[in-house]
Amino acid sequence: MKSCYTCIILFLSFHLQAQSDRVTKTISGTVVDATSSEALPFATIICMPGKQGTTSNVDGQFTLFEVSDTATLLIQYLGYENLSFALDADLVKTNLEIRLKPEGELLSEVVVKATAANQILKASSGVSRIGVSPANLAKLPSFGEKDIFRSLQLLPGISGTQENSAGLFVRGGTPDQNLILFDGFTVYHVDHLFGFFSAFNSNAIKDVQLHKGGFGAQYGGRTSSVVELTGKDGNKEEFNMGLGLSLLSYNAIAEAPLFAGKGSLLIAGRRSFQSSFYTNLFESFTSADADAAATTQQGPGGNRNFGQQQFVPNSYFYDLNAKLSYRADDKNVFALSFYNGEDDLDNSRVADQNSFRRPGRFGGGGQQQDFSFSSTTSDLTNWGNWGAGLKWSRQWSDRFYSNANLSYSNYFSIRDRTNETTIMRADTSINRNTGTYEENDLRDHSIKLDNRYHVSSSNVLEFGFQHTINEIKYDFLQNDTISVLDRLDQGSTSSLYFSDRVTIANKLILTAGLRSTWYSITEALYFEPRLSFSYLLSDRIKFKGAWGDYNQFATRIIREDIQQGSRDFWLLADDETVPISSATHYILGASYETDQWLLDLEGYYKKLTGLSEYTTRLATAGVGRNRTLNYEEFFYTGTGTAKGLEVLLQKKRGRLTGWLSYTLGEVLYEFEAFSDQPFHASQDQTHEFKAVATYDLGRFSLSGTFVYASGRPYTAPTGYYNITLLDGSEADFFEISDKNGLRLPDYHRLDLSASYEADLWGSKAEFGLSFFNVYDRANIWYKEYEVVEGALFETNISLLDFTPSLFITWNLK
Amino acid sequence: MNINYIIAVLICTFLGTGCTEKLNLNEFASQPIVEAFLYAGHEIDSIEVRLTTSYAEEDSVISGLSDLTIMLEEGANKYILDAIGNGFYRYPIKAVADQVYTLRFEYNEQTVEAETYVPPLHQAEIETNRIGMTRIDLSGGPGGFGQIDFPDPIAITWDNSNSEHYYVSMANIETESDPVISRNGEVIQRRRRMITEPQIIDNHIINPRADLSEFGTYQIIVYRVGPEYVSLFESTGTTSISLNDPPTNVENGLGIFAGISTDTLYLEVEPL
Repeated sequence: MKSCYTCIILFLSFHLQAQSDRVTKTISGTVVDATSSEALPFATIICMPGKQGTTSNVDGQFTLFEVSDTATLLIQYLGYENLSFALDADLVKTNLEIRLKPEGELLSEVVVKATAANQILKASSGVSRIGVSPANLAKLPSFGEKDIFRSLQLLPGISGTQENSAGLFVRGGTPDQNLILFDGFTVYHVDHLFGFFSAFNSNAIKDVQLHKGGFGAQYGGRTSSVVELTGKDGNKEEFNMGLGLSLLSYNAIAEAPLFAGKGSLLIAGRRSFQSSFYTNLFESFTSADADAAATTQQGPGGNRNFGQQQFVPNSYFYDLNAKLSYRADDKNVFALSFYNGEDDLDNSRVADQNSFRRPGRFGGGGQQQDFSFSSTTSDLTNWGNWGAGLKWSRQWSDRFYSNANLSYSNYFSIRDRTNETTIMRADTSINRNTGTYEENDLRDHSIKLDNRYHVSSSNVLEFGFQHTINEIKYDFLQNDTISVLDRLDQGSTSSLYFSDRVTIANKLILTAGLRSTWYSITEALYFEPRLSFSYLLSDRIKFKGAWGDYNQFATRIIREDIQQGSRDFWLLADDETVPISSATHYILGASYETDQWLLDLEGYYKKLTGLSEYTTRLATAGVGRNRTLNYEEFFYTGTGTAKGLEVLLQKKRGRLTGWLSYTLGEVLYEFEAFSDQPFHASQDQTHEFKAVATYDLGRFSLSGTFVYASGRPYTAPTGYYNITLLDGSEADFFEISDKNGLRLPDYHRLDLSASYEADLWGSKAEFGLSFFNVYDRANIWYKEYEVVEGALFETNISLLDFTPSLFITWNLK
Repeated sequence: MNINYIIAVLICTFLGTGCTEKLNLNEFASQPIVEAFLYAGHEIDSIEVRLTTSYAEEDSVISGLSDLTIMLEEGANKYILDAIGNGFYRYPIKAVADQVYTLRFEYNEQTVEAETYVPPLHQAEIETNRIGMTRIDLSGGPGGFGQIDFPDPIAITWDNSNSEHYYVSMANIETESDPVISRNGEVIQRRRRMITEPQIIDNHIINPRADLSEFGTYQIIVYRVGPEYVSLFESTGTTSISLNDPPTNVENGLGIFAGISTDTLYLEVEPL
């Protein structure tokens, strides 16, 4: 254990806010990283005695009112050492720049009392709110890539068994019900490699705030949770760069100061490569076997050898982050953030015989004929996101702060599986196109303004507006010509919100808010009241609760496809065929916290309406000779409830840190079309226990995670029959059970990892080794059924088995 | 306040409302399955009605329903089908193209009913009905087919201006197999029947190298099928994630009642 003493540098750019000659003052400042001068958002600043506290805004700025000039400030931020120091008459006159030291760094100036807090998460900052330190995630077991969303799945209330999705199933919700914000813009799809990794490069992210429910009026458009990611600004002090390599991908990051230290530029990227490790993961989530898929294509011959093609599918993903930041002065901060991530799977092939001379066929009189043949199979799967946000924030005064954001987000998903065969002769040409083409393209143009006004030390107003224009295109073509589905949804939402946070006697914090949204498609106004409280019974015991209404206007539809990866696309609700989904959250909890430990309990109840289950299928319409076949969309509408209890016991300090968590939950849906009684939703999981531990041995770090969860529900056949098709083959069909009437076996998994930090000629390196599913548990993903000679066989399809992985990272500074 | 008390109250509160009793699977209730195809111009001789088989039953004997009174209607004409045993029924008339048929019977106090349209006959054309291929003997050892000449692809075409669903089957109908490729006089390829999927198409290409493995007569049938058959054919849910009720055009039952028209072509493959 290192010394509990460390240092700060206090830069004295004076900005006195003394309100009177009394000993109480208004102090303001900025919390930054001591090594890179990067602003630290959502840091906690506590004034002692009295426990008055606040959090820094997204630019690291904070204000405390009526602070005694002899008080002590305690500053906490995940991944950084805690800092406390006593104010004095000089310091309170300044605009403080508080420089927090990342864990493991040594500075050499003013030494004040500090303690190391080797935490990965901070769960005590609000109702259902958890902060995560991306910097510390590397200590957890992984697939070589530290992954923010995978780590969030280890938290209570979030399903940790969804190996095939980086999306979050929060308190019985589904991933599309989560609002994912990255530097202010909405990200609509978070999966790489069929969901095995999240689309975010954790090297480019400095802060993650997760709201599992009961979130405030500044957030809207989703019914389950909010994940707010803040990208790194970049080093304002000196040039820095880093490289990383795992068995799956390589990545690089570069950051440099600009504008005489007032600004910075950061560029980070990563790309996968087709190692055997990558291929194993790829195969485990698709039926494609790169080796087995190596096909030989042989075209019709002529006076030459047959053309042969050896073919192996090509697959990769990449993402790129760039951010340009400029702090013009103490008041104005500008940032331009850019993100692009993409997955690409190419299974295409071409067989082509250019025109050639050949002998005539039987009956052709032996004449020579001009002939050409070509067959082009296009099998492309491609999805990804583009996003950009331009931010201007201004601290108008100690009391008033504004943050304006102009953003663009694009999610695209294309599957092109078509075959075009062309046969050309001197006088005839025959073309034949088969296959499907599916494209979803979502565009989001948003402008948002958030304001915070400190009426007094105990009263903070937040208000603002957001206007979003959505354009969503969805095309589904069959045989290159038949349009099965052709949707173009266009709509906008215009929202105003207001909330007031009142602190009473430094014990009770009440926040009341209202969000109203005008939705252009239904031409209706939707009101969403929000209310939350926390009450400090003592220094250690806190009660908390929240209630709120939430609406969602854009819905993601998932078309399950085991063999090729599920297809998803977004639609805008119209409240006729596609319902506007709504949720009411009720949350009640308590926590008990000491310097070493946190025990947190929260119970939740969510009432859900406007749920939609979607299917497209071939359906017949009309009667008799007018009977036709169409692809039709079916939206089944239902309601539901989600309720549960979460318990978190966290050890926050010491060599051994981590947490134990338990969630008791239930998600019930009611869809008349499926069942006359409520049934458990597919994501329902009654019990889930998780243990996460990290043991710090200085340069060595050992970690382990264990997940145990009761099985999820599924639908099974109860009977079967077969039909002899016209070609003589027999097709099997199933009568099915009650919807989700059975349960898969319990899920459990142990992961272990070790990492080592080393100094390499003044630079830093880290080596890591991870073992996923150490005891090789065959957790069941789904079941497959087939009838063989009159008997029904059931096959369990398992999730990933034991998988070791390695990573190495290097940073110049 | 005692923290243990608080925790206990919270747990009890949510445990009390946290779980409902376990949902039970529905009792297996066997349903009547109809399997009936009406071929335009062919006798109605293979309408089958049976029961579904329970997953839980170890004995998978198919239960044909032979004691039903099944009514077949075509316009004003009504026929009561003759039971011929094992759940099969027939009637000595030919299905008429461009007509709508209804099948109806009572089972378990419910009326099971299905309707289909028998599509008109159509004509397909083949580019040639004779083709020559080189006999290939691999007895000489490996070396592939590199220098062997195969004929051009052969097109089969038909009119499909109404965007109907067609598919094609092709099989060699010789009693004895005479393979194009052999080794020491032995057959090295199994006889096979080629079948396409129902699609909205107006042609089919025969690739001699891939599709014609034997000498002799090939029978090629071009099927025109109705929407009920296509929706059944496209049904692929076989996993716990994708299981859904199977498509059917039978009310109060399962299976298919479908009208079909065909055109049959022949292709002679002769050795060069």
